[in-house]
Amino acid sequence: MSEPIPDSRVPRLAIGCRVRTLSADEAMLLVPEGALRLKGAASEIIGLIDGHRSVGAIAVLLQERHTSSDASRISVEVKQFIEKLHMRSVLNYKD
Amino acid sequence: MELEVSQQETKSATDSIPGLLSLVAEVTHRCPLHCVYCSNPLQMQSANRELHTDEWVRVFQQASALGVLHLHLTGGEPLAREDITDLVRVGREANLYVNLITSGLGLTADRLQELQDAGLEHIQLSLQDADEQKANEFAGARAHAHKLKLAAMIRKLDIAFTVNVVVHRENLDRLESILALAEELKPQRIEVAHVQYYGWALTNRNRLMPTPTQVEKSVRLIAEAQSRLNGRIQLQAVLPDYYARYPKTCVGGWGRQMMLIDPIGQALPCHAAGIIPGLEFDSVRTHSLQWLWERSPAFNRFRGSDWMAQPCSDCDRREIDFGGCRCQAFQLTGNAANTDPACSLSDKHENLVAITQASSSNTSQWVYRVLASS
Repeated sequence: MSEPIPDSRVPRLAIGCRVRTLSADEAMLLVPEGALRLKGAASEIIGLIDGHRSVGAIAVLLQERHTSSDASRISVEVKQFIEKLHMRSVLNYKD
Repeated sequence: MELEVSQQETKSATDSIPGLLSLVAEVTHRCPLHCVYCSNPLQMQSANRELHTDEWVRVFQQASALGVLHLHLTGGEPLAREDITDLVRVGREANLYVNLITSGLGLTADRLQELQDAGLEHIQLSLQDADEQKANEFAGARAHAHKLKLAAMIRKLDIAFTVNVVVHRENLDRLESILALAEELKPQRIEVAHVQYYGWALTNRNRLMPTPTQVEKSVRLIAEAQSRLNGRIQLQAVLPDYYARYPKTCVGGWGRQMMLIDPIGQALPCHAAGIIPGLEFDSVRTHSLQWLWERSPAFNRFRGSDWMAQPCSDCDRREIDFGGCRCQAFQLTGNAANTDPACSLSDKHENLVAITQASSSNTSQWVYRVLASS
């Protein structure tokens, strides 16, 4: 795994990528030639990416929602997931 | 936390009908281009029989209710429809992801803006070559210069942009400059597709079939470009199945995720299925999309694996490639239920190898796509 992304980075969906919500814990990320089915926390995270919130802010919101989970682990998973989407070119960073 | 690709349904279709994900709307067969490898059927549908706007509206709404995610507006040239902006808007209002596959002829900055305002999310612009004269020759029209101007306009919009290039024997020697030109147009995606031999491309196969040396070189150049463009532009490639060991999973498997509606409303499992004798295609004019998908004989004819004979029926890959392409099996063996001869396990595979080996010498005249409707 490469260096974790800094808390200050602001992710946003790439042009032509759109979230279609299916239920409270399931969403589809529609991209030009396909779709990613996102469940559970993945669907929560994608719903929090709005082009304004930083990676750190998204992690904090998730930590507040899931107080029984380990906070540092949530932070790591949020960053890994966002970076995974970045590698697939479905999101980029504003700065 | 779970991240998975959606198109993963692998249960045998005999257990359940798979979900329709993708609707290809061939809204017209009219086209200002005459490409020698067009995938449209040789017998095209004339303008006076085309579905009306309200019929397409109904189709898109039914598609969305069925769970379709992507709507691909294509043709012919979809811009030849005066109501194309309305069709985009209705598709988007139905919450479909709307993609326009176009030659770009008929597009202006104003019309692009209208399409964006209507909700267009992705545009695929075709490019025939890096050499203008050759590009216009393959298209049978002076289109190349306009496409280059158009690319700059598309980039200014909030629409995902893909450059599509079809490659074949007559342009593969310029693949490096073609890739460079595609990169210069700064799309998000580039698709490089070797010609697939259906429709007009099959008619022109002698002149389009690449040589083994060209294919090898193209695989290397594409891999190099993929690593060079990594993180900037996504480069996808379609390799020629005549050179493959296993057949392609054509349209993701017959009746498994894709439906094509032709200009007069017939529902087909793929672009070329009309050539298969004995198949009848029911219409959106008389049936719902749900009935067409779940019940129509054409979609059930080759769904799943029950129809297969040897060697497919015993093959470990039968739920991976579903025996390859039914249309190609018919075209090259005379029986659509045979194994696609692109598969090395087909007893007709040698015929394909012979075609590729004879590929370098033929110089027959182009047969251009013309609208000679039935």
